[in-house]
Amino acid sequence: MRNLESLSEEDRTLVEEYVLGELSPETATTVERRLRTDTALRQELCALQATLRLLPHAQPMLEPPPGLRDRILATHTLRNKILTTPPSVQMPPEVAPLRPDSERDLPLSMLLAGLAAVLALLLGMDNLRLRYALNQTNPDSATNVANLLQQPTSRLVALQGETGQAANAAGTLLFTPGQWQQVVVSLGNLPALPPEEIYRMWLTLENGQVIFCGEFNTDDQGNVFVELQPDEDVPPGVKATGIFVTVESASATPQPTSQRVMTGRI
Amino acid sequence: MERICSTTPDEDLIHSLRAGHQEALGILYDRYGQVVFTVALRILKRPDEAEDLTQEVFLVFWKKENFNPERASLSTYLSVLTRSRALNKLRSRGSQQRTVERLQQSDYNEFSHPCPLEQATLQEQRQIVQQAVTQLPDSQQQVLTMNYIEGLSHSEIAKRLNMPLGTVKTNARQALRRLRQTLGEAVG
Repeated sequence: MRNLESLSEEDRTLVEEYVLGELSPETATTVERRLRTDTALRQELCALQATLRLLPHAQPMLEPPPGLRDRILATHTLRNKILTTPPSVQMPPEVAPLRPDSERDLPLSMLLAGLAAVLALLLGMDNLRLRYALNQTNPDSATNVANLLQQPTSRLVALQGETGQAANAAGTLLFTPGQWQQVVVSLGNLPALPPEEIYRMWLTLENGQVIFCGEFNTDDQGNVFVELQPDEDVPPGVKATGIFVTVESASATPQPTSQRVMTGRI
Repeated sequence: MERICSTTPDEDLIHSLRAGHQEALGILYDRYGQVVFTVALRILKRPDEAEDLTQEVFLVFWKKENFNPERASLSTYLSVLTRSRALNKLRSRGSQQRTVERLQQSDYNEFSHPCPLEQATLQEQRQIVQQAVTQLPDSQQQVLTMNYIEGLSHSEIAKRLNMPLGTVKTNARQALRRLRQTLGEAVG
């Protein structure tokens, strides 16, 4: 408050309006020019900015969702521990770089172990089963999954079985909002299909549009662990609202024609 | 470094996090997760987007060399960072571009140094700011909250409250002035 008395009423109003973003760009520039040399005005600016910065503390605090802490820590683990190569590790020549702008490479075995640990936590799958699944994928796929998990905004969507033999199916989908070209799907307890049929996954948008994400089959135990790369992208500004899975004829064109066997809300 | 725990100071936790100790991130989340999520949700209104933004903020803030404890307390730094990113997301929705531009006009000199109150505990900050805010008349409190916390422009507030634009502007400015006076030396 020590400098308040030295400010004219006009200057007080000016700096208050500046802090509230109420000045025209020209007047704001003039104020900024004055702030460089006018100590009293600058100190009042700092006090007003601090007042606004503190304002959120007066709000009733809202509790974040319970799983968020684990998700943040799991993603951090992958991004900052697993993907950091210890200096002593020797790189096998066949391993591709994880990031084009990085000089640090990672042995595939370490990548798979790390991915399995983090995905097990994120997707709720058994770690050994994941390691096995990841070992079946090619190194590029594993790297893609690692890159997806590095995105700070990666999200999980829970999928549940709906009807009949798929009623006990459950699983998770991992994706990054705004980057729908790559998703990782982990499902379990899905019935095996005859050779002429296949599972297809679809994304529903708030405008009613349905986007084909990709198709897959289960392994012998009814599990699916697959990376899908949908051709069609979500139009900008349109929100994705849900995911569903159908059983379709493997030779049919991609259109959802049958009952939904699994669904999930985004 | 000593073993970190729930009472370890923010600065040491960030140092520890930068050195690769993940548990530091968990403690920082426990300390500030609510603040970040609250600011994000108040602006974005959508819980899923607020959740994503909270994750984004906690995964990036500590890497930023521009966070300097001598220039800002972590609670307000996170709060301002979250608000700024939330407003950018609003801008990407396309409907409130003008609001965002206006509200981000005054970023000049935002982090020069933490004010005395920002160096107090989060609980003390909350208590003092809450007391100061409750001394504002309801109309001023409402306008300032809608403007700063929810990211609405004065014209939008005028429309929503069915209040003349001039009255909204006066209420916002008077609220800010009164709040700053009540907080006094605590904000500098």
